[in-house]
Amino acid sequence: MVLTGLPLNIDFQQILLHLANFAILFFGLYILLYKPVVDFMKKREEHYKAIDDEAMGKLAEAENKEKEYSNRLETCDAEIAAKMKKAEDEMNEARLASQKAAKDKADKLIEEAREAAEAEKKGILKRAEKEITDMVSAAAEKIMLSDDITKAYDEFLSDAERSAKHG
Amino acid sequence: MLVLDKKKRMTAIIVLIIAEAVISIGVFVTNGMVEKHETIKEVMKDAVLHEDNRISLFGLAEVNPSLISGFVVTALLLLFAAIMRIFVIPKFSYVPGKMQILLEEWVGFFKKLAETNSHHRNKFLGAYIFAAGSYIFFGTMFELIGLEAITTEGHPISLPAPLADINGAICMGCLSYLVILSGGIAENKLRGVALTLKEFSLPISMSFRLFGALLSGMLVTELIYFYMGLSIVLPVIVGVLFTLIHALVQAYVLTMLVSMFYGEVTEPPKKKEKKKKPHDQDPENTPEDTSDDSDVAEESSEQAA
Repeated sequence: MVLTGLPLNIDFQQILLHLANFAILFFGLYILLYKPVVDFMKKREEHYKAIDDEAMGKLAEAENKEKEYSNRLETCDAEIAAKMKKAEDEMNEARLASQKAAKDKADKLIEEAREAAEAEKKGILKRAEKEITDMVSAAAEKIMLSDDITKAYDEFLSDAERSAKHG
Repeated sequence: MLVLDKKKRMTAIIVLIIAEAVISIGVFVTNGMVEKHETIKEVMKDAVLHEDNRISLFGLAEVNPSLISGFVVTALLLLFAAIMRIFVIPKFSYVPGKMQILLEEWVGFFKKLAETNSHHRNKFLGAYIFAAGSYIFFGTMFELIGLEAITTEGHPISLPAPLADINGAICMGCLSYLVILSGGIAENKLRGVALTLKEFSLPISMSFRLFGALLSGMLVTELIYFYMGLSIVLPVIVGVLFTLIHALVQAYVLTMLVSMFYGEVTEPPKKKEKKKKPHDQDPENTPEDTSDDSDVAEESSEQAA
């Protein structure tokens, strides 16, 4: 029988032996198992965190690009509208100019035609006047040369009708 | 799930009954052959006091069998850890296998427990409760193996759990208290010491909780194994399930207590917000604010008193 002064046979030597035993176990487990496993878990966590960060970065970049492109699309719409308006204006101006030129040309042509018609009318009148004068002169000459006034008068009328028929 | 047809089931049941009968007969027949060198009273008294059955430690000293159990458990755990370190851990991959999951869960459980209960300082605590929890769990489960040793008197003895010895339990309880104290000193200096010393009963309560829980498990097991009549079916429940349950419970309780107290003593002091003086307050303050001020004044007067 081994009895010490302490109750329940508490033995400091054995407590210290237990302590030494546990200290060896603690350091052994820490070096052989705990630290390597924790390190690996940390490494894996960092690996997935890096992947996650990369994915988040790419997502942010894609969102920025989307925003940029949508802005550019909005600008493009405005640009297209401005260009269309400008082209429309230019087209209207060109149409008005060509209309004006056509009108001027038409006016000029009408004026020229009018002048030509006037000149022709004058020429016709002049020629008709001369023909009438010639006819009257011829008739007067015949009357003067013929005795029979009635015959002369009939011949005059016949000539006048003929000339009217021929135009 | 394995589904047996009726015929096979019946055959299995008959085989089991015959086997059980043969074992029972064997137990009864061989009962008289085993010479019991001590009574149940002596067995149980020795389990508590360790007066008689002592083992020689390499001829240097006579020690309790639990100390030898402690050495064996430590050796087995370190051997297992070394095998894992050499053959399993270098093959760890980001997609874990079964062994890797087991090791990560084992380590991760204690690490998470430390981080949850001690937010400010938990690196050393995680390693400590990992070692302590593993030692308690595997040490308690060790008694199931029934490894035999020879006492100084020449009798064979089944090695008990390392912490079923009061010396082992005191070692674990006091060491845990010292770990808590060291955490308090490292984080809060003198305040940490004061916070730890406030819980002066902690080492005794932790030591005797461990000792009592593991000793009671061992006493019940000893009692049942001592009487042949009880040792046919009961050991399946008492020997295995009870040991497994109190191994888990005691490992969890000690690690949880250590991490909680460690977290408490390593918590940095909260900075008190400076209370506004009445003349510093905005003129737009409502009359309710003044009532708050009166409460503050009351509190300060109470503190002064």
